[in-house]
Amino acid sequence: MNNIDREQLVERYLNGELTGSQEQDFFIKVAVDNEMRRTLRALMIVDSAFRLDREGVSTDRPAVRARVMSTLAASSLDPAPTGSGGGSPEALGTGVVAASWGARLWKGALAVTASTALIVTSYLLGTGYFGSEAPEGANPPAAASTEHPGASPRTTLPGSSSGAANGSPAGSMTPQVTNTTGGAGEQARDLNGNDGASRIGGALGDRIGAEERSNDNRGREETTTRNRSRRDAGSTAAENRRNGTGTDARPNISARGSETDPADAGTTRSVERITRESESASPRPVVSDEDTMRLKVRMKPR
Amino acid sequence: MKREESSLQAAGRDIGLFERFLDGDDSAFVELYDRHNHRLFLYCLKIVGGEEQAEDVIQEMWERVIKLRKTRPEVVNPMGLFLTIARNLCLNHVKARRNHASIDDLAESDHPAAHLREMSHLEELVVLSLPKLPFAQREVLILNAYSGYRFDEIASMLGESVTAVRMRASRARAHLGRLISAMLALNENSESESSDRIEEEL
Repeated sequence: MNNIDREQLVERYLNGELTGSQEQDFFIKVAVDNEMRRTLRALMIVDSAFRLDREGVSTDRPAVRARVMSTLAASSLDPAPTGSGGGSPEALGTGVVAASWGARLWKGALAVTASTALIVTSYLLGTGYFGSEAPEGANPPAAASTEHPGASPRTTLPGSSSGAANGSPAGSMTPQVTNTTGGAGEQARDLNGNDGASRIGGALGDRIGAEERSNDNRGREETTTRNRSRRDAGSTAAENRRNGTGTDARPNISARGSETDPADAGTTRSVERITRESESASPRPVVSDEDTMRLKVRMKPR
Repeated sequence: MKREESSLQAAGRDIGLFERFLDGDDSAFVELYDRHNHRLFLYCLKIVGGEEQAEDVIQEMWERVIKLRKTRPEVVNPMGLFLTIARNLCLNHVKARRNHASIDDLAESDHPAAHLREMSHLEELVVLSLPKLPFAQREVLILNAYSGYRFDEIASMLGESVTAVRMRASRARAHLGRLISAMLALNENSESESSDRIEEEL
């Protein structure tokens, strides 16, 4: 008997495939043949090794089970038919899944379109595109103001309707009314979507606001210059009186070149000159006629 | 006959459960999981060689089965499907590990010796020699000796004849047997030589 025959016979015995008489013959061969005995012992060691190795491993994997069940639950949340023995048609299940995805895409597209429209509208309002077509109830133009973040509390706009909602062309999106009382004489600006610092405008609004602020600063500088000119004029006149020159007050040219005159007429002339200068300045594309009007209004003497 | 009938009954039950699962019955999936996870985990464990890796493979296998709910394929052999998915994942894992890792990179708990404390050195030798067998022989031996599948079930899962499956398992077992037999012979010879020397000295 060769090795292969021995192995097959032993395997049949170990698998329980031998009949009674065959087992008897097998036992006799094992007793007589050392090789048969060694083969039987070797295969028994192989089987016991597998058994011990299998028993030494725990197949209870609660973490794996939990993760798999959570995946199953998540898949069940999809609009696929669930329930015991649910007999929903395949086409319906597939169609429901497709419809849910379609609805999600549609909602996403609507959201993107709405936000884009909002940004564009606020930008256009900031540039005064809709200046001539301001809706009813729009706030009247007022003096420009500057927003100082975290500074003074909100103030209502003089002459403006309550809240900016009435004048907001965007409807539901009401720009925040944040004004500051930067100083005497400054009036709150119309925030009918034109506020450069409106939160709705975002970056565009910040840019517009910066340009507005530069206009404001220019106006302040001119005001300061006017005041300085008045002081200079006054001091010059006082000097002349002290010196006894007795000359009539002649207009003195200040460093700024404004004609100063203690009299009201002189003041008016200086204001007009400043206004002309401001008007003749290189036009800025973002300064609208409305803003220029406001500047003129602000510069009128009281 | 009785064993074959029970095998057919088990296969039929699996088919019914799988169809119910595809229709949306989660309890059917849970029953399939409880029926097959134990044996499939053992298969994955012996193929990939580590418990953590086997966990990853078996989890991914079940998740892929869950995803079948969306495509609703026609499956006539759920057990075969599970084994095919598990086998492919195991082979991918083995190939990836062969390219990147060495045994030193394995965690201590994944070293083979960690499970073999209660075995004799010959039994330990059997377990350590198992990965050295050709994959086709090793797979069938693992499915039979570890996972407890009968040869007709294994043949059904692999899509082969019972005879071919049985022959492959027999060769695998015989290969290991010869290794142990040689060790036994060596031990016997060494024992006999030492006893002869003792007699001569006496």
